[in-house]
Amino acid sequence: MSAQDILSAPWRANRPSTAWQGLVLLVLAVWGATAAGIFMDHSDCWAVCTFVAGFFLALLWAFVMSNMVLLAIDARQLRVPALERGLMSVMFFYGVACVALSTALLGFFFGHFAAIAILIALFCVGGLLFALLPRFVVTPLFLLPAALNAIPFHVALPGPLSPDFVHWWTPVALGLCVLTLWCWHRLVHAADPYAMGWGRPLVMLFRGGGQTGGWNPWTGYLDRAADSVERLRDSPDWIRGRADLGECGPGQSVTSLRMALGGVFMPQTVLSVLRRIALVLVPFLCYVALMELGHDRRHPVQTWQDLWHDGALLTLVLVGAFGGMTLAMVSLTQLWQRWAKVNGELSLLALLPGLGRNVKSNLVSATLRPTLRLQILLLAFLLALAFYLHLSIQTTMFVLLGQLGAAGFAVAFSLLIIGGRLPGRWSIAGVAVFGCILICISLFVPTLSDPAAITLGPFSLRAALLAGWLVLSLILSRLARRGWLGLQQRPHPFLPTSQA
Amino acid sequence: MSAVRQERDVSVIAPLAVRQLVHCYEGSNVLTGVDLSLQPGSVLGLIGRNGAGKSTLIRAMLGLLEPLSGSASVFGEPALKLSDTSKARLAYVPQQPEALAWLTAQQMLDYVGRFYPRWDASFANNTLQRWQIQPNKLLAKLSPGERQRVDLIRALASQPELLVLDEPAAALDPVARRELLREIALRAGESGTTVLFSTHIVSDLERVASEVAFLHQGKLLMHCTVDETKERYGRLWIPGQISYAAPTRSLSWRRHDDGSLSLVVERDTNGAWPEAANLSGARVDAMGLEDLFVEIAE
Repeated sequence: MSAQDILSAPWRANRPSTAWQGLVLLVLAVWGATAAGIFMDHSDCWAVCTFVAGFFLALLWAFVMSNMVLLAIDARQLRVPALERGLMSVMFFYGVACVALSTALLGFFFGHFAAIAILIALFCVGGLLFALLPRFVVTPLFLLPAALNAIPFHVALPGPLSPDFVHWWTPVALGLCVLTLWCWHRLVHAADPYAMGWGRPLVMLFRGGGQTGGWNPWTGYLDRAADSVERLRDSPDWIRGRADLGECGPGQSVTSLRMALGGVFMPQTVLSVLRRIALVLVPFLCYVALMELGHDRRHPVQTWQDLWHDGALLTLVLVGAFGGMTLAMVSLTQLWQRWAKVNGELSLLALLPGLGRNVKSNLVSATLRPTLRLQILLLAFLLALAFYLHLSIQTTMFVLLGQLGAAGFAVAFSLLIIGGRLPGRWSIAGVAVFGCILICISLFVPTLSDPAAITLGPFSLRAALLAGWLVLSLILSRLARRGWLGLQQRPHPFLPTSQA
Repeated sequence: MSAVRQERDVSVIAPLAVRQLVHCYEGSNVLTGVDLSLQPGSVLGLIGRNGAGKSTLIRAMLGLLEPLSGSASVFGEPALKLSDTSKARLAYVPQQPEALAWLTAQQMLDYVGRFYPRWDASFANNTLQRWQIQPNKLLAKLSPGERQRVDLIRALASQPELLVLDEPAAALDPVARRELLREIALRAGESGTTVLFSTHIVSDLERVASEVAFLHQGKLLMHCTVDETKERYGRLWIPGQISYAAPTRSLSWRRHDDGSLSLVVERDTNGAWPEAANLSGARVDAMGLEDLFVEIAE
């Protein structure tokens, strides 16, 4: 490989949109570190700057540079060994360049060359490993922060400000490099790397049949989202839901439609539901246990009540901000996949007798009921947390609005999909971004401070938020009406939907 | 008396018919004014190259897409607004079926079977066993060939009067393909099932189809019985020096290096070849179905 090939390899190995995202991450790493350096004036600010830069570099290696392994796999499958070897050189070159340049820049201002180099190397290798490790290893890693929190009583790991930091973490960084090489080798030399099931790493999750290239905020995400069939093929049997066919049939139109829609809509057996609840609860309980283990012993003065209060507040903010939208996104993705595929469920349902005369309203019920049921459960959970935390009525109202907003998204876009009236991609992106920002601000700000006290020009933040919610509710109502009218005008609801 | 007339009227209604069907995708025409009708009990093979519009035509005929213009009817009803009675009388297998991947083969057949009044559960179970498909295996985890066979079982077990298959043999091995063709012939011969199937494989078509329709670039170039194709169409060869006399209407037209012309021509209503066939040096050769398909499609 020539020097030019090595330099341009990441650009060529990624879709242009991903390569641009990589550049943005690089810029953010530089800006973030600079901003941290400017606004912090204490002696330890070098560590903060390195952490900020390292965070964005970790994202770069996890989501952009990791894609090089896909090219290496293709090179091996197509029997092009020169390219396969060349890609190793590219990774080595960019790895060294990343660490060396970051260390030189940060070290120039702050010194601490060795510690910065080790920290940056850990971030880069960590990001790459996150993308290359099997999923069954990566998933429990989300408990790592809590586990690390619990560790200090048993092993005292030195932090970056400790003089022992370099001695301790250099072997760790080298070990992670070896592990990365092993992961790379394992993937490239696998007979069928895309059929590893639960062992398939994250970097390969979004590489499915739906890759159409280009980027757009709605179908771009949905195209990259793993197709439900593909995901089922990869999942181990114990993780998938078991269908309950008991109440399906000509007299049970809504249940039958839910069965045909699959995924989050599918009626499941009691055992299957319990198993899925356990899948969520067990990691959560592990997290709580680890938090208790670490928190209580390190700060013996704090009581269980303090721990629960902090944990509950964090859960309220994170689940409130992202839980509802994630639920809406999951159900909408599945619905979109059903209505975009012509050889799937649509043709079967269109020609299935016995779905009843009110098939359109039954379909609306089948698509909205499971999603809204989950949204209501989530809302009840959040309200219970708000009650436990003794939040003010105003804050509770914003929590409520956040969940109603997510439910509104689910309703409006479900109707648009089944009504065949999806608007243009940029309109969807605009509404989605506006809604997400509004929900996040509505959750984060009131729980941390009083929005009435924060002013935006002549208005308080509270007034601005309420105005934002009014606008969002008007937009969502309009979209829902458009979808509903589209559905009524369709000769039958099982016609494929394409985007405007 | 009126009941007898009504019964006769019902019996002559075409199970599947389209008139002046037009459809396009992203600005390019896929179907340009297609007229096609199936006679009850016939087995129509729809043939055409990739991208000719076969799947789109089939989907429009069954009301699975809304055409830009034209009409489609199934058992006399508008295809886009079928009654449950008509739906129960037809079965369709798409190309590369992917429906209900989250169910096992047995669950899928059990689920679908509940909706069909004439569902033959024993046929479904026996055929699953005969075709060596594990009933408890998830559909998502079956091979494309197995998946297609499960969908064929689903279609056949409903005992349809109209069976529509889009490239049914595409993913099947030769043994399964032969078995499917036998099943189609059996259904058509014994139960009078009307069958429409699209294919690239001309030998399959010759084996079971009673009629053939050739779709090319969104147009239906011919529709006749399989036997008729040999009688009705021929390759007219005209030497270079009299090539000016070539008929203006032909299904295909090709000039050779020596200046001579080869054309696929059709007999007129009186059964005569075009006049150029009688010129000295010109000749008409009989053509097999595959030759005819290749000549027209090239």
